[in-house]
Amino acid sequence: MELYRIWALIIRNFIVNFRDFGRIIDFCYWPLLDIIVWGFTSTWIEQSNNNVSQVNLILLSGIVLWHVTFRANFEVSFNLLEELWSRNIINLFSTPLKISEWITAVIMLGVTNGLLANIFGALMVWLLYKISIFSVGLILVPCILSLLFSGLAIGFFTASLLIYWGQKVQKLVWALGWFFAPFSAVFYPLEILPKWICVFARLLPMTYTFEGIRSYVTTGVIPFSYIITSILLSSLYLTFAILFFNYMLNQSKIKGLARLESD
Amino acid sequence: MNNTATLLNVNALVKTFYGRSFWWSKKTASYNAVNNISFNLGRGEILGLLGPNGAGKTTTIQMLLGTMTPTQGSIHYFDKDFSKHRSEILKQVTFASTYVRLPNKLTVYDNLDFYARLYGMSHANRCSTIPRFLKFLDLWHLRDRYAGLLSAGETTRVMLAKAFIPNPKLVLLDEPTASLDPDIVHTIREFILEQQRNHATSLLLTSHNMDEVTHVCNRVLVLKEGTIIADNTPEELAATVHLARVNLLVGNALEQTVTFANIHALKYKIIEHSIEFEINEYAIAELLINLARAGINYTQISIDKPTLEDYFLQLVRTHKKPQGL
Repeated sequence: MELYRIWALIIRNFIVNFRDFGRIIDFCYWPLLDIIVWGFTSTWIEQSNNNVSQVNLILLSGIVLWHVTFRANFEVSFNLLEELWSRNIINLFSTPLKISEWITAVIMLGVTNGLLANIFGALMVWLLYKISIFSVGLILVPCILSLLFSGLAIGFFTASLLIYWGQKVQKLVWALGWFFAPFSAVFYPLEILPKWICVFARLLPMTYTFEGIRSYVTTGVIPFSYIITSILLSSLYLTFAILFFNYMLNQSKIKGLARLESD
Repeated sequence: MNNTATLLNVNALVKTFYGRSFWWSKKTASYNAVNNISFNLGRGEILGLLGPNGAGKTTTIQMLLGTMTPTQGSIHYFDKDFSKHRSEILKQVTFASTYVRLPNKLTVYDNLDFYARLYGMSHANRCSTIPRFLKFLDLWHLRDRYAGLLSAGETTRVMLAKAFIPNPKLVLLDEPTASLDPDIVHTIREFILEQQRNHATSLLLTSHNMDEVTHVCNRVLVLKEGTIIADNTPEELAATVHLARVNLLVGNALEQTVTFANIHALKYKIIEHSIEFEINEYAIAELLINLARAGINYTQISIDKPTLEDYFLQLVRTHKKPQGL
């Protein structure tokens, strides 16, 4: 692996991001909208004499942290989609660039943008509601790490489908990013979900992350089992997703990457 | 088979396409887009890949770039197996085509800078080389324009700059001048030849433009239905065609000449006051003698020798697929 090639991809991405007003808006608009909607909803619930403590913190940290997952996923899959839109796939993959270097670059972009999304969301929550997400404590570090891994795993899974089917499946870039949210217990506890959905939800690392955060906020006890399970599951899924991407890339090369540019 | 002067060695390359490719799906009827082709490309050589649509030119280029996996056969660059040393080899092998594009939201300069970085060029080298190529290809005034706003001709010139900036040993060009205006075609052709002369860069190019292939290529491979059906210089290939066109300005004798042509069963075409015979080049003298005997006078005569295009048309129309393939 050559660092200069990874750096070239990262530099190019930042140049595009900073010059594209639409992408800056995209980065800020949707998280902000969610924060406003869920912020007022949680304020209303808290004022309605409910029995759940810290509803504001739970719901707002839920939405801010979900955007970490979404952004990490989006950076991976959208990066590839933009290459398809630009008809640049053949140009890119006929250079000395190795697939491991491309994967490393998009992971770094996903992590950076996921963290930036977290900082932006936390700042907005603090400005609008005077609530500090970071007051949850150091438990957030492994939780954010797990959510980044989960987002990257979803991103690589989507990219695997994109590299084989091209723009025919481009809607998945947005759809898969939100598909797992209802099953990940982002805003509500796992036991609320019907039993058959619980089975699926228990397979998702995000479920353990959000359950862990809720448990810690309400009891003050660090839920090690939740955190370890979420880290292990997300690492496992990320590994499988990268291997799957590599497999689908090789399958796509059997048919030829040029066909992806004629969609 | 390999020697020090050989940059590229393609051996028994086959590409078979199946209807479906996953383990759960049944394989449907297959066909060979590239059928057991072998060839070499030497240092400083310009090799043309000719063939009608669907002949396997682009499939071959894709396999040579590593963006398509061959079904069988091997590709060696610089005596190294491409399947094992892809990244190392592609530092010296670049690509340009009119059919691919560059990221729309990057300027011309940023795009070239990005690709130069991928080839490991230093900051100082990029800063001196990129402006030189931009000026040479008359793109300097477009350096800050987004790639998405360029015309087809401008995009092609940027793609060529991208391909030549890393100073490669071999450039693969897929129809570099397709659908472009003649003046741009001329500029691009001169640029390619100058690069080849100054840096001994080898080129492999596909084209539908026979004139371009004749003027640029040292050697031509003709592909049909995935098989190489000819491998020679453009001149030698054209010389295998014995059909010549004799154009006579006959004025008032046009009707008489047509009757003459019909009597002698000659293939002809009327162009205003001229008549053009398409005959074997060895029969030209006999034709002129017979015209004189028939009392047909002409005020002007021009004889067009066979071109690569004539060869191409004849070969494509008449060649039958070899048995056993």
